Amino acid sequence: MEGRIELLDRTRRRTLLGFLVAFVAWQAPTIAQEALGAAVSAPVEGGLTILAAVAGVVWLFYAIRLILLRREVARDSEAAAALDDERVRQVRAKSLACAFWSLVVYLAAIRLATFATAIPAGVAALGGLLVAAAAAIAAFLVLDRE
Amino acid sequence: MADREELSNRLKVLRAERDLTQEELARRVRVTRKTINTVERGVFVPSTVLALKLARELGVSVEEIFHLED
Repeated sequence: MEGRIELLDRTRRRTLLGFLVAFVAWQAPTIAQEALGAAVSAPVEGGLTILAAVAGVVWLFYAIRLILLRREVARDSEAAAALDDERVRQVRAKSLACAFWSLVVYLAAIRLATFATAIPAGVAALGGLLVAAAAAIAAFLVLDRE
Repeated sequence: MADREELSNRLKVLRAERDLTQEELARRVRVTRKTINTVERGVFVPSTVLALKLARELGVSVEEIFHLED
């Protein structure tokens, strides 16, 4: 039978995965709209807006689930200790390092791209947010695998 | 400093001899089952504190669980 800590660990992974997918699905159309500007047709613009809005709602759902899960874990000292053990802390540190270097590479790429074309500030900023957040969560999910 | 490739362990054998599941051992030393699994497979090298906790739960010395390859 699956124990409580194992169940919480699986729930955390599933919730983080949902959070990541929804975040990318929310931000990517928004960035595309910013980047393409007036170049997109009205139907495409509308489609991107609807996709971003739906994904944003789904992301909010997963964000609330993460907060509730954190509170649930905090009430159980045994689960809180296990789910933040030394391996998890190491995985978290590596994930943040991955996010940092992903952001450095992204910023370098953006800087180089500006020599060829003008990049709207909104696109650069939202892209950086997307890269950093997605890299951190994706790295955690990959490194936390068995 | 020893690399993880040089460190071997008998955690899986010692745990099995005591009829403990990974989950039960994890609960006793307050880590996740995945941590026990990754230690057994040599993927994760535990801290001295965790090594001592594992040794205490299994009733052996740390050297009986972990050893450096010659």
